[in-house]
Amino acid sequence: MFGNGNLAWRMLVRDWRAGELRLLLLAVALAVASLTAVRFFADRVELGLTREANTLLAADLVLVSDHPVDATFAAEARARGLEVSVTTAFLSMVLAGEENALAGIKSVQPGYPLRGSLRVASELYGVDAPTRSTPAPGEAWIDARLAGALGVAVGDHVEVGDARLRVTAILTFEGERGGNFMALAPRLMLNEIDLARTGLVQEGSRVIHRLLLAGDAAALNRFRAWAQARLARGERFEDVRAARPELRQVLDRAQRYLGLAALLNVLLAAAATQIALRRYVQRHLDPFALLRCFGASRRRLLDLYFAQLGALGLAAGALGTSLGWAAQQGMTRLLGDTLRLSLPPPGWTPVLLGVVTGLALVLAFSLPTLVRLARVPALRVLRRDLGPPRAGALLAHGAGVAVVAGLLFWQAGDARLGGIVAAGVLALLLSAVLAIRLLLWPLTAWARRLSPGPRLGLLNLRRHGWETTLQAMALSLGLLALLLLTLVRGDWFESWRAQAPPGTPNLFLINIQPWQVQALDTHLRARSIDDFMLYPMVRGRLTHISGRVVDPAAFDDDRARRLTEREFNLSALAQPPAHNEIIAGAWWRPGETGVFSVEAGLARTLGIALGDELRFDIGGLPFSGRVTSLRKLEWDSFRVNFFVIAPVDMLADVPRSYVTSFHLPASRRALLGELVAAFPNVTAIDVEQVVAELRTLMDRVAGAVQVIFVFSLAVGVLVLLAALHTRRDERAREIGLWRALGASRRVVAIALASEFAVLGLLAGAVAAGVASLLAWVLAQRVFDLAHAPNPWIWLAGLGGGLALVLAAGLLASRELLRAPPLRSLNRE
Amino acid sequence: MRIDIEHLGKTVHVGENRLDILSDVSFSVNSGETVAILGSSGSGKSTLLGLIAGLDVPSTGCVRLDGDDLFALDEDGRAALRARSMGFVFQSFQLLPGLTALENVMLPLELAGRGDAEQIARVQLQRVGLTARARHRPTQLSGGEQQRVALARAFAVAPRVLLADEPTGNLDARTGAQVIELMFELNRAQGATLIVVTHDVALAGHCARRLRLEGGRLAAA
Repeated sequence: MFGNGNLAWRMLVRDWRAGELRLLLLAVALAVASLTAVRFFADRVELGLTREANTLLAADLVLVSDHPVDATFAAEARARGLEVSVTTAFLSMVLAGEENALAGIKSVQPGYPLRGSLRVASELYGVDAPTRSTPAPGEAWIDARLAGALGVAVGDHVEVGDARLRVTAILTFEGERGGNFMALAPRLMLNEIDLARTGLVQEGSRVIHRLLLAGDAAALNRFRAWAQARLARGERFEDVRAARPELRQVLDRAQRYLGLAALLNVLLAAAATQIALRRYVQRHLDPFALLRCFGASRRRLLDLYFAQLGALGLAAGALGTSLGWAAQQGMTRLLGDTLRLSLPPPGWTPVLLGVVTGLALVLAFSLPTLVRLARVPALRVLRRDLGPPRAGALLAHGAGVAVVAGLLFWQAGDARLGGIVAAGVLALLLSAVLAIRLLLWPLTAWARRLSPGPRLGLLNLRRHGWETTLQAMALSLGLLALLLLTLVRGDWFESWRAQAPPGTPNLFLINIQPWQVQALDTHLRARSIDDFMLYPMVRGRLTHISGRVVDPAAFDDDRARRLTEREFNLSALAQPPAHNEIIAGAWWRPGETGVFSVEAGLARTLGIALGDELRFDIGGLPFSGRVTSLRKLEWDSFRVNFFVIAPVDMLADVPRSYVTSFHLPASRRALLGELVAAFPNVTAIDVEQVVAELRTLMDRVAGAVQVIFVFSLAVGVLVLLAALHTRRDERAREIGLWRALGASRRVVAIALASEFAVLGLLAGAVAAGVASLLAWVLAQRVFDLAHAPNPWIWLAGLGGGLALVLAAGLLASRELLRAPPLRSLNRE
Repeated sequence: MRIDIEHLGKTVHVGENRLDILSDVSFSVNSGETVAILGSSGSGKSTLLGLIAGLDVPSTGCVRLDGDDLFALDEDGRAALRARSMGFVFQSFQLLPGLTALENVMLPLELAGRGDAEQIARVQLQRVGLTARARHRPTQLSGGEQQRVALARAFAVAPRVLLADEPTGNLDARTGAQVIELMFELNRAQGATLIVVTHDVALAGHCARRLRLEGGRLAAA
């Protein structure tokens, strides 16, 4: 074949000059731009958020081991340009004079943490500040709980094993511990050099060694891949997702939302491409027949068109990617302050994604187009009565569907999300067809009684039945994207406000003795602190599940092993705490005993089911009970939570302490001093910093989500416009004919307005219905959010559909209305 | 190129009805001869022309070009033959609206892989007197000018057969006459076999022979 590439190129340039390709290029390029802008931005936000979250892990990645980590790992990481730090942690008794307490001992190296910073105060309950230093040799930093338990102050000495250390600071914030402190022992942090002096780390000691790593994401990934194959037994990697479940939830939701937005953009891109290609094929029927008449074989023409469209797809992909990059740069610059997040530069994946998407979209959707073109009879040049061939084969359409499905799953990164959205879109398309058949046809029958304007418009919708259906499909898809993103975002932000609202508890009091409960209650209420509840707390070890002895070593799951190795916090209550939700079984009746209510996550991890018999060892005595309810609770709510709760009578004679949490505004911090003075044995734990960190992270995620949302809105509107543009040529001739036959400009305008209004209302109704359903399913199955049905969505769907389609349609037809009828009739 | 039409017939089925568009049409055209096929609308003229061009396949009979059966070739073979030997002029000009006059003339040359497409196209445009309009789009040209561009395009590939379908059908009498003059003048210079389908008696008068189709049958030779 001679010079096909050259000819294809020349044809492409001519078509471009003739304006044949602009809509197609614009549609694909803008679609790719939106997709890549979302991807670029999402990647950067994801990296930025992860880095932010990593401050709470003290590193980007952690290699955790139950034995000292082989030195080759650290050496290799340094060789790869990563920052490295080692920590060692274990439980041990700490002594101070006559007092002793079990504490979590942790040795650190200078430079710890690699991400974020520690906060310390120079005295117990004093004002704290971030620090870049770590305990010097011979020094110990302890938290308020340990200081309280040992009754020591800054300047006093404590003993850890054989080492005697001077307390030089009160540790108030350690990112790694997060909000999970309740389940952990109080902290003592010391210098690595002193670790050997304690003499506590010996062969067989239960010690956790951590190799902290930080640096470039790609280098980290390469290191992880390198090290993964070399991990010995007892060694595993932990990133922020694995280490901090409450952050994982925030990040995962953010990622899923961005995934959803990107996914909808893929669908919108596909719709825009399909629409533009329809117009392209309409305009190329005659040239194709003519070229066949001139002696070009069908195969050769298909090659030519394929090459031409391929080049166009590539160009659109490249252009779209550049636009996407520029857009996200702009977004970042605009939002730099709002996001308050330092964003690392974007990676190359979105570039690849953009170019491949442009090419794949154009080629896959061209296939039915080309099949259709190939069927154009050459005789059409002589016999105009030979109409355009029917749409392409199912197989050819299959290529487009396959590419969209592939892109959906690539974008979603989550088969369930991809599947649900794909099913939703299918439901949308079917609903659009049904709505047209069931609503529009009866409406047009009634239209014959109307005045000429609306009658003309409504009958026109019916006359172009299939085109109308396609337009309704495209319009409702655009509207669906807008409505769905709005709904999910609403649910999500609502749940955030519910989780960490202003007034979230920031102070925990533990170690309250039973005889202090009444006095403490009075003390707090006298100072207008009313929103708190005092919970009894009992520590117990789970020994049997339904008669089987609980053996930590028998669990494969790390978390299960850790949970069964230590004591749980149990409580005894008459009513379930207000922020707990019973998701299986029922709370006990008054007077019932020998029963337990278990947290659902714990039950899942340990394989506990309703009806199972649990036995606990509490202070050396066995306590048995049947599991009668499972509770779901929000671990990031900063309220006192218990894994296991028993009826009050059941644990009546067991030694216990009490615990509570409440919100103490910054302006009333002085109360803390009074409290500690009045109840010296009670330990106050200030989690203000942890709450603040989490809230900042949530705010930033919210900012990023807003930007992506606005961007998807823009693409949605583009699809609406493209859908309205499809029948432009035909519409021009129609208007010319109506005008030639005596319709006034006003009648034509009313006809068009009626057509667009009905189309907008139909598309809006279909989109609102499907969006409501999808939002509910996504909230349940993907986002794990409480979904509140929102009746406003119908108003937004109908009103938005009507306003958008009417405004865009009339705007696009303005020129056609003004043109003299003859010009419209002679239009090629 | 000599053309022999032998017992050519075309039947289509519309629902359960059988419609004979062409029935048993036979005639021959000598190389370099000019023939007009006259007939009213629906007489089967365009169908006959389409069959001679190999754009459609007959129900019966055959078309021989220099003795070879056109329909022994498959569709791609017929397309290649058209590219080598045939030129077309249409009633509705069939110029591509997005291309300039020059590019429209270049199109069949480019399809044939001619590297000198532009030079040839320019010469052809000069022959039809449209050098100054080379960069104009069809919408910027009058009907007569558009048909002259179509003539330049048809003759650019130096066809051995020129098939014209109502070439003056969309033109006024005066412009039509000018186009007829030009077409025959160009044909004389190239010596192609010319078959023109028309109901314009003046146009038919320029041809050496006239055939009449009535109801799909040849009425008088």
